[in-house]
Amino acid sequence: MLKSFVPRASRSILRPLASSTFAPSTYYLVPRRGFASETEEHDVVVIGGGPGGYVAAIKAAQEGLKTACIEKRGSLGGTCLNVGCIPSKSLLNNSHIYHQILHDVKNRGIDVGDVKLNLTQMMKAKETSVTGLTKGIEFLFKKNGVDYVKGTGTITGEHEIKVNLLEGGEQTLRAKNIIIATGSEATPFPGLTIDEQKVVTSTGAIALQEVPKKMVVIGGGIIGLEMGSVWSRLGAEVTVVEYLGAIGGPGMDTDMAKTMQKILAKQGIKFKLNTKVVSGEVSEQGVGVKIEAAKGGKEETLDADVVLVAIGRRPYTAGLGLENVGIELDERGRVIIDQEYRTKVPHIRAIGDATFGAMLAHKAEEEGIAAVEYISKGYGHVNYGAIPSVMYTHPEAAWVGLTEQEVKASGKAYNVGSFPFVANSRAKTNLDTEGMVKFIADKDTDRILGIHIIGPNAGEMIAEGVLAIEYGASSEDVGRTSHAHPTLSEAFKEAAMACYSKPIHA
Amino acid sequence: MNASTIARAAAHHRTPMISFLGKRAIPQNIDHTPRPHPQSPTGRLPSSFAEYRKNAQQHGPLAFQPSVRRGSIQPAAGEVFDRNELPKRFWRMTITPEEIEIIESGGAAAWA
Repeated sequence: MLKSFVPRASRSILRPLASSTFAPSTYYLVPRRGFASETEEHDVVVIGGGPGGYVAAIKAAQEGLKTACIEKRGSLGGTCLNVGCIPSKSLLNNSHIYHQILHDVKNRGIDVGDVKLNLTQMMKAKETSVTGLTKGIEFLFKKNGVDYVKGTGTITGEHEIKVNLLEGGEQTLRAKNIIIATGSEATPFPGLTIDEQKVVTSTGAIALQEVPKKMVVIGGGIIGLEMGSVWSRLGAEVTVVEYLGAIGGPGMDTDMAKTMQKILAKQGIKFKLNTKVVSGEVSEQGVGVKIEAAKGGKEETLDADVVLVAIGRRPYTAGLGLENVGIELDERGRVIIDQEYRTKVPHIRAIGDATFGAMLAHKAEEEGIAAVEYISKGYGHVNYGAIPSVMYTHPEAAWVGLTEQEVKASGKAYNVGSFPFVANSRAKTNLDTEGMVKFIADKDTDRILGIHIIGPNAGEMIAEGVLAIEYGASSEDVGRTSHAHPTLSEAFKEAAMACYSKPIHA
Repeated sequence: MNASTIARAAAHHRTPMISFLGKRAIPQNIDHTPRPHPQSPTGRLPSSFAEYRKNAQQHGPLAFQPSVRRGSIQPAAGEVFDRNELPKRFWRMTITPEEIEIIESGGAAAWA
């Protein structure tokens, strides 16, 4: 419309910013081209290349949408692949082997000579896993035609993202849809400055240069117990300080938390529950951590070479420019979304740790796919009642659905069935019999409400439980399903049988 | 023998709670009206969600709905649209003093 008033010579500087179906009706002055460059419009731009972001980007490309993914780390995979789940699992696995060789293989008839820890090599093995997986995602981006933009993205308009490129310069992306998948960061502990040397988060805890003599872990949740296990197995004296009366975090069934604590205590980890950390003081020698009973009491100081702060994580949205488009956060910094992951601005969605729900990589992945399907098909699916949690200690702990405490609180009548691995033939042959499987089912309908496992490979075994809950199975459905002999999964079947009838082997 | 075993099993068939749901299909009627996310701790959406949708016009309809379902936009016989009753994107645009300056200067003002 304005064009008709504009002399022909000047029309080139007055034009719609992009020719698209959603282009605003106003006209913009096109800025002089400088160091920054503008690319063509995308159907979807994902900010963040972690498990939620990269999965969303690949899915969007597979749905035929022109997609870009912005990642500032310089390698894809986010916290999970670079400094979280993957490197910690490498250390957990290898430290377990080391510990087993030192303390266990003799009973199995294997005599070994002088066993030494080569921490440098263990760290290299960890990095090899990480590099292989992050490069793998880059390959998947290329294969699916996702534009990978390395830099820090800031939302500058409802359809515009400015990227500070890692290689220098700026790039402006325009997008019909934006997906925020910026993840989370470790919550700092007030009064303790993280230096990732003596006072570390999980990021520092997977990269220590030497085994600390003494380690204090603040927080008895999954991250604290996993990393505490690693360094305990490698020789550190580990003390876990937890404010609550149980380990494992709020999602863990109380029975399982107690059993797990006993097992880990037997492995040498010390626990101080119902205890709060008052302050910490870093000195040349190490860190002095002052603690006292959560309800108040006598103060005590724990000396440590390294303190791991593992009190939780908080959403990471700093510098994202949410204020530029009026997107709101709740009191805990989570992006507020509706049932289709839409923020107040409907074409800007948020998934994963940056928004509501458990901070789990696989939950973010599910949301990434659902958010894209809402864009492309208008319909997506995530069942939040069937998201598993796993703690990769040894034995592993895994659960899905409700805890017994939650079922009890709901007032619903229920049955519980459990089966110990000590009565499972395969666990016995493996000389690895700690733990149990516990089923909770509705008393009237027998529908499974929750499944909790402590045992070898619990993280793999829980998949069957997740499927059962997703399908709305009864404990009898699982109990009447044939499970191969001799396998650990027979313990799963027997726990189901114990729930609606009686197990055979216990 | 196998056949009789199967027949016997069929006679005592129990119905599992797990059942085959068939090939998944997208439901026909989906309500896209914003509602709180199932994991929202408050179970509430700020009023800004509705406010934004009331005022957002430049991007077209916000609900996911194929245009064919929305019906014709033709006025009834004898009726006309008043431009000011239409969404803002159909209104006449106001030319700002800066734009007038650019036009009058043949575009040179933009680079001054």
